[in-house]
Amino acid sequence: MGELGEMPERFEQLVLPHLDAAYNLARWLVGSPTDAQDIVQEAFLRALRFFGGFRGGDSRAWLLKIVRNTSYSWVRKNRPAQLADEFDETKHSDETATDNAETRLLSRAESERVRKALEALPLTFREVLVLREIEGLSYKEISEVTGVAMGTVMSSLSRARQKLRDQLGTAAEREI
Amino acid sequence: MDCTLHRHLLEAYLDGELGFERTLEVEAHLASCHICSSEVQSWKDIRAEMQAPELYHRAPEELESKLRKLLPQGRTERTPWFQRWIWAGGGAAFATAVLLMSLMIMRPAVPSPEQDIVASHVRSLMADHLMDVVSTDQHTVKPWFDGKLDFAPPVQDFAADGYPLAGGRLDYLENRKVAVLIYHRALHIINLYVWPAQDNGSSTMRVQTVHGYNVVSWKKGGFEFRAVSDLNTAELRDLARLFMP
Repeated sequence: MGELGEMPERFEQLVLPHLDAAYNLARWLVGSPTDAQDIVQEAFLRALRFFGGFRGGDSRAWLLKIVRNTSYSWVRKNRPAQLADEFDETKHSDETATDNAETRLLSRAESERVRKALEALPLTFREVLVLREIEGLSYKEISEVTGVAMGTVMSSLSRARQKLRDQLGTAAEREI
Repeated sequence: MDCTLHRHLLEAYLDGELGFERTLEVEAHLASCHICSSEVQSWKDIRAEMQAPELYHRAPEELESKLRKLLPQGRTERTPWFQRWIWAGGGAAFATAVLLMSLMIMRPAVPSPEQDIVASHVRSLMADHLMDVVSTDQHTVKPWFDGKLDFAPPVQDFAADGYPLAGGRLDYLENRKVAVLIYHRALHIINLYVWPAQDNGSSTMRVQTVHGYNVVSWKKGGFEFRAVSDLNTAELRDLARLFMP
């Protein structure tokens, strides 16, 4: 660990501003607020430890990468089924069934519907959608965070969108 | 272009990942292809729902303070003055608490600074007085503030990052003159309020929503910044990040 000096100051300026992004990602990946807090805290400690090796550049992507890896280790340890998990059809069809016309009218209910659909997606699809649509990351940043090539980012994003749409039951008329 | 090829191109367009010429090509195609344009629209609708504030999990306040404590060397100056006060004297504590409570009770009557800023943002859009100096050139906008303010606001154009500078104006907030920089993001207008901070410190970003407008606040390099817009918080925060190298 870099021995003090300006380190904490710099760390604070570069890393702390992305706390919301870090928490948001962890929260989406692991589902529970308490676990997400623990993960962010652990990721933060790791970040502090590795900060000496951070050579500048995109500090958000850098931090999110650590948060992502920490979240995956957590999932591997605590919810191993999720990693093998294919699309959870049963879980979802239940939710669609209870989703009646009157709740659809309200836009809050709409985003609630999207939230549920997103939560039901397998981890990797959920992850890429959260990074792109909710966190607003570019393909390049997503590739940095997930360690996956840009082309793969594009195709998994595309598949994730298709899945989400199936989930929402709003698939467009055409299969492209 | 025919519409069998597109899925990826269309999505790259949707994600703002195409270059200028490709974007124009896709736009031309969308104008004539109903299938693709409804495809794009349908995803934009889903996207709008995904970007609802309820779907963004902001870090709880206590997490930030917990993390700050983990930083090497106690950075105590971050502790708000009133907290130090409360800890300082047992006797004073009670009186301070009473004072704070009465302040809190009185507070709703006084509009918060964020409400003021949002009101100013809305006025700027309504009164057709968005800009005093119209220029996309930071070297025109910056000197324009000279002599009109007792500070020199940081003026930067971020056109390359998708946030072109459109101009500037003077405004009045919390009893002082402030600089306002106007940025565009697609069809959205962003008013960025800048004024000198109390000290040279920096702060993390805070996001608030007032009457449907998003306000991102931060402090950096001796200035207070408030970016206000109807733009989604993720993109508004991206602008803020451009100010925090």
